[in-house]
Amino acid sequence: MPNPVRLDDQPNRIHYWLMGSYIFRRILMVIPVLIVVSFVSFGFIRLIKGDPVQIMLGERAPAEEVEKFKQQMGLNDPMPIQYLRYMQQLLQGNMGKSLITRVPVTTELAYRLPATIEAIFFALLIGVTVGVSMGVLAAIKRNTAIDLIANMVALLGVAMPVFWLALVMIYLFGVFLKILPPGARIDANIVIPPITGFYLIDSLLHGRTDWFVDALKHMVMPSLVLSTTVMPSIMRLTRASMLEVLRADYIRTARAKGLKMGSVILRHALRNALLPVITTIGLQIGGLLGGAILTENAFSWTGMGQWFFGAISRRDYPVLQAAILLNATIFVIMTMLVDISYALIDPRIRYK
Amino acid sequence: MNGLEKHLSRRQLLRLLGIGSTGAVLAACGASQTASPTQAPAAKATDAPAAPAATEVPKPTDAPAPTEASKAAAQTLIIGRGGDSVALDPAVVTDGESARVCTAVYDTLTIIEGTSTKVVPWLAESWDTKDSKVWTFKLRSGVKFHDGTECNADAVKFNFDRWMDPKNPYRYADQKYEYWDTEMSSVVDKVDVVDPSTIKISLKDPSSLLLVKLTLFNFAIASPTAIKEQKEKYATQTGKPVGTGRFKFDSWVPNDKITVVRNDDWWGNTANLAYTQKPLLEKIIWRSIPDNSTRFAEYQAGTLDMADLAQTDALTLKGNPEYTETTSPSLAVGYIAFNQAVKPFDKVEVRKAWAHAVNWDAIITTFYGEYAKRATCFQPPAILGHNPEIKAYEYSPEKAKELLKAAGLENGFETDFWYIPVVRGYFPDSKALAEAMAADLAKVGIKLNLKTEDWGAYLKDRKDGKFASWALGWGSDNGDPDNFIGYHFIWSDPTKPNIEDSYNNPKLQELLQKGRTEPDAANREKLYKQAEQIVHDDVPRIPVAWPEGVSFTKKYIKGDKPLVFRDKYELFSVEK
Repeated sequence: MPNPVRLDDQPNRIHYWLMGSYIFRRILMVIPVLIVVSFVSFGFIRLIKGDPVQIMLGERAPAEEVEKFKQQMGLNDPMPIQYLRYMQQLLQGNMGKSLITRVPVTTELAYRLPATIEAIFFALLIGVTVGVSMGVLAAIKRNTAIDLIANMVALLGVAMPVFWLALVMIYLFGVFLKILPPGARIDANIVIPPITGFYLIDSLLHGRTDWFVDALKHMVMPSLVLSTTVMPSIMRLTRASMLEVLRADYIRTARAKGLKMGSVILRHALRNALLPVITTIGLQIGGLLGGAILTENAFSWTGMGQWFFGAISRRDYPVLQAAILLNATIFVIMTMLVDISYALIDPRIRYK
Repeated sequence: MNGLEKHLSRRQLLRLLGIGSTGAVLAACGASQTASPTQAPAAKATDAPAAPAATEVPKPTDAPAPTEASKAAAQTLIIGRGGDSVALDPAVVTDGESARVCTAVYDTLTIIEGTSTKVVPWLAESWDTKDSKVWTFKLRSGVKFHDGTECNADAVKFNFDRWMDPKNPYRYADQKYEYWDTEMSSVVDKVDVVDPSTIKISLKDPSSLLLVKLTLFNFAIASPTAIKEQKEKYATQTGKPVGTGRFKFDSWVPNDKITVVRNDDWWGNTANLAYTQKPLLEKIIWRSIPDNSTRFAEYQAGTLDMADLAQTDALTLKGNPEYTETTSPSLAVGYIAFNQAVKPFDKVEVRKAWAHAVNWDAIITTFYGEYAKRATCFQPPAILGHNPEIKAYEYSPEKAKELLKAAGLENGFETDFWYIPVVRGYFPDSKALAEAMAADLAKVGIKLNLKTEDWGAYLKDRKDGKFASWALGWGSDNGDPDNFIGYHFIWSDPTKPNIEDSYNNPKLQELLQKGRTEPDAANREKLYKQAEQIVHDDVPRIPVAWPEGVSFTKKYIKGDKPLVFRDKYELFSVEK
């Protein structure tokens, strides 16, 4: 039974001190984890069979050429040396260059990241809005048809692979109904001079609402598909948490005071029920990054997911390393933020 | 396609399925037309279809809504392809996706006529040589780069200097001048400016291949001013390519699209050349769509006017009234190869027995349908030196058994056979084909252990001689036999056979080497026909199929003609 948060709880000095030290300790713990991650990302890829140089230079490349190139790229050096060189560069903010395009990883990251953030933002927005509303509805109308339907939708969301759902939607809305563009971030005829890299923001900065509307249209299907990776768990968590809260004494009290049901649910129940939901959203972002790989590929979305997808088949080591490292880092940081947010929300955590 | 193929292959690999299409890939990998001696690839252009999305530049729109867009908007061609260009500096790129854009933006000194593989004047108006060693080229006058500077003899020499000299100040780290190094560095000795419109190219040895090599997109002439100004950024994602071509570079959104617009000041508009015309398209957009299914969906949705499609996807459009189906003659071969250093493949009887033991015709019908012909000799008919007198090895298990007996192997033998792990036009379903072949071979006592591995490893191990027998194929880069039969059988080290097959026939070496210098086309043809016969008799490879290109073009794309080994964007128009 969760304790309701007392909003009038005034923390004293000792509270601040304890919390600061907790957060500090928690951040320190991230460092060894990241080192292990870098090690794993470096080593793991090299275990996969397949020679990136041969793939890159093609089937007609003479052996000497391949050898020369490997020498140049340092791919013949002992693994520990390669690793140390990799770490040294990484700490200088240099993630290497793509073996295929020779474009620095950081350069490409700079314009791919906004695309992914845009998609993830809308996916989260949809996932949370729909997930929470369905969860609340299902909890209130427990054991009714609405509850059943909400649960089924959630189940479907979990069960459907995103690349399949993406293709179904592309054919339905893009090819047959022709009401939504089947792919890309914007119409082929529009080129938005980059300012921030976020198309929705840049189009407005350029004062072009027509561009904005077009970018928004292109956003619909990818973000919908991506949202299915988070929506089911949010819905089910909301429902479970809501059911518990609705049984709590303070809800009964509120009702006894004569408050309207709607106001009780919104102001008293939902507020408390959402706490566990909010903290898990942080963790969901990790799942979204995974979902983005397939979703972006299906919608020719020039984000990080598409980039990593391509890098896998090309054995593009520097890009893959960056991919694994970035995803793991984001995940580790999100977990850390969630832990810290627990501490902020629930004072009991800090003392442990 | 030397370099080109490299690229194609990478791209195809990426796509996992990689072949073919509505436009291009298939074609690229091997389809084209009858030819004569010659070559140059230049980007094999996609035949691409053109476009629906009526819209103009900055105007959002859903795909197929025809707006009352201006005519200009209507003459926009949107092409879907599997990957982005690497860079648009032709000297340093080798990939097909870069080539496609480069050929629209740049011009070369010579060009392939198109309906034939004859070399015709382009930036060079005429040429002359007395001994095939010193060539004098007269340049077209009044040609301007897109930046307004003049394309004269100095500009051409600037380009040659950059290609030729590893210490040239306009070459940068990471840049590899691969085409020059492989095709030209052993050929060209020096380049001199004679007067502002004349250059002289002196060769190390007489060669008749110079003209055709100059048609390669890699030897297109770029603006010296632009190269000097942009330095290492020249024509990269953050730079801007400047040539003299039909289309001017407009914009590049990395991994998304590259846009070029028509160059209304193009010199060709007034040159009155029979083999070209003023371009009708006003704008071309190449969109990168790595996923095959998505690209196909966009093509159907109408957001693409042309697209490179996987063959399996493209074939589903068969019979659809919105599309025109065209097939183009084969320029490729899929073959079975043997390593003669591995017993019992050192015996010609064994290799021949294999050839006779398999019902190849049935295999072609099953695995290629109507999109390939049974290969009767190594080179398809479009390649110079194809020998029509050679008859394919007939299907005869009895004969195969006799041959095995003659080789002292009446009880048969067991060997490893490697099939390719990827989809290619020349082997669309390599594994199933290998199984069918193994079943036939088992009947004469040859037992195959089928194997494969990662594509990169496969290519390398094959080259290192680790395979006993394997499947592979080839698509012509330029229509020239030196790039086809020559490529496969000339020893890379002149003193000993190639490790991959240990095939040792000095007579064949002699013929193929002669083919490289013989200036007369008719004589060359004779040399290569003889070479074909030797290859047929020695069976170092069993040619299996000559795959054809098939494409499905939207009906509203007009003007297509079956040109080979060059782009043809000037022909297309959009008429909806």
